[in-house]
Amino acid sequence: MLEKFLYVCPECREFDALMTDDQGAVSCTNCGANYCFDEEYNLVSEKGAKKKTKTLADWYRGIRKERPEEIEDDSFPRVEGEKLFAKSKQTELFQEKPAGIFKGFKGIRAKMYKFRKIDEGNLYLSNKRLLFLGKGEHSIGLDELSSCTIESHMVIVNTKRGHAFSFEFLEESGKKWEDIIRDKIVEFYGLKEIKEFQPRITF
Amino acid sequence: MILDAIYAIILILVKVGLKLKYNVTLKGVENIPKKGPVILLSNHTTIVDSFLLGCNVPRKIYYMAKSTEFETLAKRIFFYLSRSFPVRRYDIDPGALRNAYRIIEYGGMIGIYPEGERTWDGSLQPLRRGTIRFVLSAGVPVITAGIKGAYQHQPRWGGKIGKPPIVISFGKPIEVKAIKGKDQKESDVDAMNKKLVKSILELSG
Repeated sequence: MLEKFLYVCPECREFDALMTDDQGAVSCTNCGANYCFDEEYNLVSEKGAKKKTKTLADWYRGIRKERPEEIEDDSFPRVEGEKLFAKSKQTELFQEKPAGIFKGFKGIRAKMYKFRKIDEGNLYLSNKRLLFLGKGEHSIGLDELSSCTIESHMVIVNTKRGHAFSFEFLEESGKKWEDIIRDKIVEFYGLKEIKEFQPRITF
Repeated sequence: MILDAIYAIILILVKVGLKLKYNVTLKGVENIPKKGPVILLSNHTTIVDSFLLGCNVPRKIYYMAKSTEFETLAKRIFFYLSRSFPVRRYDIDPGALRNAYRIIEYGGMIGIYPEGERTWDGSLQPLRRGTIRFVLSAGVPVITAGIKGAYQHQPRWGGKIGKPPIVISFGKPIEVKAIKGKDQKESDVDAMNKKLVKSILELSG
């Protein structure tokens, strides 16, 4: 649904505020703005008597300026100088494991991998790391990340040690998390410009 | 032979299904070389792009597909039949590169979505530099393709925007002078990137 991609209401700038109802109508639960597509496939926002029409790409570019603000959460084990910026709702954690060999046509061979669920809980994003708290605790420093991408709605991160993890966000936008994790990686590296986030973070 | 027959039957069923569901117009199919190694590069708009291309291109396409699609046995069988091979998008994957070169050496047509993933908003996403480097090192003709109108049927975020007619356009072959990896400069990658983006935008616009 549209809120999987437009995870910020373009009108009031509230995160996770858009909602699609059973009839497919999209509205903001915070400011009441309504959204629909017109005959030219542009997205129209309607708030009160005001209507705005833009391409979906332009709306998205607009919301990318929004950054989550620092939050407080007693369940987060903060270290010195660490600031917390996001805590996910219910999330599943998967770890990549080898899964045999794929044999295709014409001698095609490929090592296979599978993501196996290892925990369920909440993902925290700080200025220093990703921390997953479920039955166990799984911490990945931002400096350890070698890539960050999304497939379907699962965010996949790989580490410099070669361990790949994925996060399935059960109640919110995976695209949001890909974007905010990438933003924090950019901030972490300061002045270095990041050209790509996958297959490897490259400067 | 049996597998070829199974594949042919699946292809017929998929073609019929696509014809019933979508109104598709093809342009420039004559630009696709009938034989010899070719790299097909297309914009990636929906989950059915590979079916739309595969059913409308007069050659078998060997697709590079994300490795997470191969997780179940049923999917592995399907991808085997449809001549796809996996690539791990979140790491450098020399195995996928080897498989891609194997297909080129065999004289096949390899299908790659250079954006590396489906578009979220309908616009063309930045092309992966690794794909461009592969194109430069392979040194075989490139056919660019533009899929227009499919995104609105099935945007990546779910739901539906509309049901416009779908147009798939193929460009004239782009001849590529091979530049081996170690000899490639960033300016070579930038130049090829610009060429490919311009071509795909013209075909999908």
